[in-house]
Amino acid sequence: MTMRRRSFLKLAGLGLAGASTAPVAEALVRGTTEAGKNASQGKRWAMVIDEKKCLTRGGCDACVKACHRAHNVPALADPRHEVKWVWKEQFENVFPDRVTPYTPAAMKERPTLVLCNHCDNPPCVRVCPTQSTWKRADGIVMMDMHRCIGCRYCVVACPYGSRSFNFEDPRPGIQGEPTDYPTRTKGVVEKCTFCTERLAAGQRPLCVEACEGIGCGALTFGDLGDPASPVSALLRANDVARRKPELGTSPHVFYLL
Amino acid sequence: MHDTGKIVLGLGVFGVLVTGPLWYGIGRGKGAPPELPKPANAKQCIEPTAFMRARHMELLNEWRDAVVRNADRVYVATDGQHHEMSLTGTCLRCHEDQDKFCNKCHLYAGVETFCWDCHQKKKGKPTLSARLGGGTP
Amino acid sequence: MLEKALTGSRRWWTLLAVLAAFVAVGFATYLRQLSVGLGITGLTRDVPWGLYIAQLTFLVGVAASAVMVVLRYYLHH
Repeated sequence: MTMRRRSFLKLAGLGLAGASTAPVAEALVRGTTEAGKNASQGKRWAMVIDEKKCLTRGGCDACVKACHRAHNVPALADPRHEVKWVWKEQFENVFPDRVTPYTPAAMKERPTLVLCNHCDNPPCVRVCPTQSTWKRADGIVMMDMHRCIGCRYCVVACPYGSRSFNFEDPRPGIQGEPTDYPTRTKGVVEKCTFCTERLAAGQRPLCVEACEGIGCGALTFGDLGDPASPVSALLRANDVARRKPELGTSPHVFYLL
Repeated sequence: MHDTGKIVLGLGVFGVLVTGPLWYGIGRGKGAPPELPKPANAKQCIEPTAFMRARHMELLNEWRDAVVRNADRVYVATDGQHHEMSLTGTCLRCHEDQDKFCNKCHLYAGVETFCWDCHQKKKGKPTLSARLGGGTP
Repeated sequence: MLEKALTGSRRWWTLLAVLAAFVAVGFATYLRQLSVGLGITGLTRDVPWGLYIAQLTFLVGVAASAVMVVLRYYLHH
């Protein structure tokens, strides 16, 4: 009996060794992946929003339209199910700590542009059970809709309300024909991703380009790791505000108020 | 406790229900895999046909992870050609329409393709039959 | 053991029928939720976690305590 068990174990060990070579042999047959040659390299992407420039336009939503159109973000009938990547919020809701009892109503209701802050310390990444949202090395908090299970923990965790859950099928709500960017299904969470597909092609986010395109230039996007970038220059020269800094999320969308 | 009759009856009903698809399929279905249309603008896919036939899903999964999670966009094939890793941009550039190409085999094999829930420019809700390869309305 | 559930008065069967109706409605509504999405639950952008999540752990505790209460009857009867 003892000899039979020993020889069985020897055979099993050899078999395991043999079986483990198979995947290695197969893996060599495929090609490799790499970043494109035009891809933008950044150490820490960030955005600066110039409130004054944005307000002189009054009621402009070129950035919102550009983003939502290109990314197939639906416009749904029920406002409680809304999906938004970038939107305008009242000033008193964006910066509640900067509102005093003497702030005039017009200022309290000032439409202020708001989007995902791509925090350094993102609560949404901390809580995601599947890591379908994660922090890239270049600072962008990215979304993987394939892996998202729709638990909405990140929606609950985000202190800025930047994330939207698809409560219903978004495709019927898409205005016009869908673009090349993949749409989402019901049951996943989505948000601004700083246009990673455009960064990979060496372009800037759509909101920034749209704002420049109408001659306003309120949005500046760049690499904080590059001291020569426009955002670095703006942060060196100006007093900036961030949303809810006391929470410790270290957001990277800065506001020139 | 003389439940043997009931138990055997229950098991029998369960067995018939579970093998239902087999009974349904007798006499139905095509005998051979469908002929796929050849693309007009290319002679060879990005990898050899035999490889693609067996492992295209592995490739697509790898592409998905590379693009979304690693921010890589370019695939260097075994013959050294560079291709953009995009289902709609690269694959469908030659194979045109998922109804004419992908879904033909997937419907025959009964393997669900849920790529088209999202990577689809045609409007309209994909129905269950569409997900099984029957085409979108 | 199965006989215990299958023998009873008219009232028993009425109760079973009412409960079965609830189950059927629940099942049909679940299928609808699978098809339409979570929007039909009344969950919204502002209330993303409703009864589903908030009461999940609570009802698990209720179920466990119900087992605790009933167990004594089975053990000591």
